[in-house]
Amino acid sequence: MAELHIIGRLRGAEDFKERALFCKWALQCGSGWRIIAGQTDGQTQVDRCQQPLDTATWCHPIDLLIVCRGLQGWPRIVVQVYREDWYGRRDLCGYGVATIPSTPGHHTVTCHTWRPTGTFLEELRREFVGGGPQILSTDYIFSASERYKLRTAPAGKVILDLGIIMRGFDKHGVMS
Amino acid sequence: MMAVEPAASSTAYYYTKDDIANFKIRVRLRELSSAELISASPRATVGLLSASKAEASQDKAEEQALQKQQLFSEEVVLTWQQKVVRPNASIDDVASSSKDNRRKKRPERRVFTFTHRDPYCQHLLQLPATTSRRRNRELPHHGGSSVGGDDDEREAPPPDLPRSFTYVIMADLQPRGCEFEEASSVTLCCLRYDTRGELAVTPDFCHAGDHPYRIEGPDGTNFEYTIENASLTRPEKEGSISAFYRPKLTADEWSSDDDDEGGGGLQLTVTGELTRLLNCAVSGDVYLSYAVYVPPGWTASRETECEGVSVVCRTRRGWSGKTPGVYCMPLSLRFFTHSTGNGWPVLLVGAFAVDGDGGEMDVGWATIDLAPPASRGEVSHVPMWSPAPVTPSSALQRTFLTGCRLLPSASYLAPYTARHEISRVSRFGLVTNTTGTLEYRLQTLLRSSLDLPHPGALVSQLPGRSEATKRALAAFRKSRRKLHLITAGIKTKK
Repeated sequence: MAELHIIGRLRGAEDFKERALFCKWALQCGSGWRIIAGQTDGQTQVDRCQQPLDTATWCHPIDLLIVCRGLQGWPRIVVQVYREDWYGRRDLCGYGVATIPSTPGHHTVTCHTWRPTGTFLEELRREFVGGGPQILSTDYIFSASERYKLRTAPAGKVILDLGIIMRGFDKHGVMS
Repeated sequence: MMAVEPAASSTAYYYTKDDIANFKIRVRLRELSSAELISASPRATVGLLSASKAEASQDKAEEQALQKQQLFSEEVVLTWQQKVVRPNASIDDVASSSKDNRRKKRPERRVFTFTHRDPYCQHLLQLPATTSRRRNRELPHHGGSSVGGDDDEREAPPPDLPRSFTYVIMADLQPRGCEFEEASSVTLCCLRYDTRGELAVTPDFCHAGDHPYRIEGPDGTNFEYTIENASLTRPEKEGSISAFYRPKLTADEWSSDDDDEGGGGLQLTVTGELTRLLNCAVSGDVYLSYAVYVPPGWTASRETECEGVSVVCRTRRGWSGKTPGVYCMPLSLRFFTHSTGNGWPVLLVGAFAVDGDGGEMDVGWATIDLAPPASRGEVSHVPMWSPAPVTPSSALQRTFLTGCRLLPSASYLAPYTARHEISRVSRFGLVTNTTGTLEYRLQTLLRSSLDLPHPGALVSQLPGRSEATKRALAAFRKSRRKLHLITAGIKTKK
């Protein structure tokens, strides 16, 4: 087995129109990978970014130890950004996926997000009332299967600071 | 018999919500040598003064090794209410508490236990030492627990009252070869658990940095022991961690699927995303379509999806600029080969726009080499281009009727054609427009059983670059061969 340490944090989000944002994240990896230590999913706090800055700061820590028996299914981080209004309602702002870097060292990973769009009326209602379409299964976020029928709009981006430590890959002939 | 240090009479109380059946206790009992009771052996000190240092250290090491061979040491992990029979227990005692009554000889161990059902623990419960003990004794016990026996179930207390269970760990400290004496048994630890979750431990568990408890046997032999809580809060994970950090295991456990599928050659793994389409010439709904060109000699793994379509993202062109299309299209590709030099897989990407009526129009094309070190995870950009309309009629047709203009040949994109011929060298006659920039983040990993010195060396085998290198090498070999021939001719003439 080879081990991959992922140490870092979910720094924050940028370029979202909404103000009170929080993020749900989860690590997704293939069947040949096994989580040894650390939380594989989590949820940040709600950060109310101050104007004129459009940056939400979470600094949510990530510390994972994963071992693998093969390279298939290299781990990814799936993020779902939500907004919370003054009434406590939570609406989707964006989905995104970012592949964990495969080289040791510090990496700043930018994960661009998108959100599903509905019809004109649904978009109008989302703008004034809230709500909006969401995907039923999160598998669509990280799946490369057919996505053609899914119409989306660009959202903001989520910034991750990740430190990668790799051990034992070279023993199995892996050159990164 | 007395406790030397620290005090073994203090009781510690713990509260737990876990099932007591998961509770484990690790007991380490060790006989102390005389040299361990003081910081340095006087004999060794005298030896250091009188004899040479080498001889003294050798004597000391031999003495310690001899003592270690003769000293008793035992480590045992016990679960809650696990019965360990006294080393020289009678057959009746063994049969009453355990089904294993085959042992009659004294084994090389000293630790044994009394469970809640044993008369010894019942005797402890009946001692009127504390109020709680009296209350436990006076109160009838309630059934429902598998730990208690039939006698306990007959005296079941009301359900709202706790029920206590006792577990005693003892050691037999009699000298070797001597007959058993009742007085040679000493209590190492007494544990009492009630159904409220309270666990009383006398003495307390040994924590990191604590001194072990010391006891003295009937013949003056010194022992030390530790009682540790060996319960695993996360048994699976911690077990896997300990297993993982065994280097032998880490070296062996690698999936054989990779080798089976690839046949032990070179394995190329590409992960990442097609993230955005920047500066798109078309404003509207745009999607990406990708396909992987696999050159001859390479095979894609079964899980690899060599073709795919992204979501349809809305791009806008407003007064503040162009909104890029965000796709975050994840890619996970894996290829195998047994020989390099036939080229590397190439990712072909096409962008298409969809109008309101469902008609499609090509936006641009791009090619991404998947050869290492193509990218190390940083964000990269590749410009997209599309064939420009040559005639005014085609320009009008594209403006009003849209439609896709397919490339006349895939060789404009891929370095090899479908017949595995060398790609076209000249693109003369092809007029194109720059239609945007594709942003991607890909990282490549190589796993090889071939003799490849370094990924950087593989760059020389990239298509395009390899041609010039091959020509230069061929010319060099040709001139060298000529030089050899000329030299041989001169020699024969001589």
